Amino acid sequence: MKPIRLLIADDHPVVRDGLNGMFAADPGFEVAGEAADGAEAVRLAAALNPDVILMDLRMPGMDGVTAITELSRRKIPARVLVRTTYDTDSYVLPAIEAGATGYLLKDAPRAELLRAVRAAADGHAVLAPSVATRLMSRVRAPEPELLSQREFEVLELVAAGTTSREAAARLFISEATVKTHLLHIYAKLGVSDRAAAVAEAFNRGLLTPGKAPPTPGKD
Amino acid sequence: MQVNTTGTTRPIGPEAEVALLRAAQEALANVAKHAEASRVGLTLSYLDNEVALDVRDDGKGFHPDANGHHSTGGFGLVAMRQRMESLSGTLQIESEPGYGTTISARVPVLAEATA
Repeated sequence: MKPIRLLIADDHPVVRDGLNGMFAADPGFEVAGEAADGAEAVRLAAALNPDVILMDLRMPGMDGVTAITELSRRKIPARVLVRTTYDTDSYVLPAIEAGATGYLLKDAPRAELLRAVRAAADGHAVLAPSVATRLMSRVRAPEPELLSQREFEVLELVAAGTTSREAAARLFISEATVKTHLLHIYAKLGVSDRAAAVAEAFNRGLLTPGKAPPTPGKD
Repeated sequence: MQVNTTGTTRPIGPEAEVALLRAAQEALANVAKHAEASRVGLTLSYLDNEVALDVRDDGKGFHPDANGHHSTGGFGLVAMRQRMESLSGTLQIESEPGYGTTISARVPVLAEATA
């Protein structure tokens, strides 16, 4: 069986040496190259065409997420396995959205790392258990019924820059009721003004950019 | 004339029902008598802890804060407001000459009464 060809991207030489030694000891793997930052990782990935890239996220110059985005953009087929100290949403989601196949924490034991690289080489998603838990809770978080249909309509109008008064005219209801809906929306989203409500709604995926606001029934 | 409800409909108690029904009748009668409207919308909004009845028209409107019979309730608004307030509710009037009139009658409904 052909060994899995690896590219190791990490800004710490000691870490690269350690990983290199770990994989060199196993005939199933071959370390094709090492990169000290994201830009070098992209360059070497294009030149060496590795099966799997072990990618650190925090590197000087081009960081890991930017490098992953760039690899996807250039349609470089290597699978990217992120190795990081962080399992917080702010790191996990961007890396996965950028195209990472897997997400491991740096404290993963050797056997788990080897298994993860094999799985990634086969195209399987690999997630550290703590990361998987986070993702699942993230998926479950936005309850489908978080906002009522009417609250959603009000929120869309607000996102489109409509004042309460204009929204009332569009929906053909009182401004007082629009404001009441807004207060309920704020409470449900945990915010205190319309700008924050719109931002939070985009963050939670309740609103998607470019979506047209509801058309008025009559004007 | 269009009628909408929003939110989850639920029983709100006979007193609130009667008060909102009377408010709707009164508001629609006012629209018919005074507004010269081409469109009137009646929206019943079931909210977490209250129910709001909005009657909006696109008629000629008026200055709601102007002195005179409008603000003092020549349209029967006084009776409507009193009925709402006797149920700890409110009656709000939004209007502007040329931009129609909206009345919003609301009564509190305990969330526990929902199921």
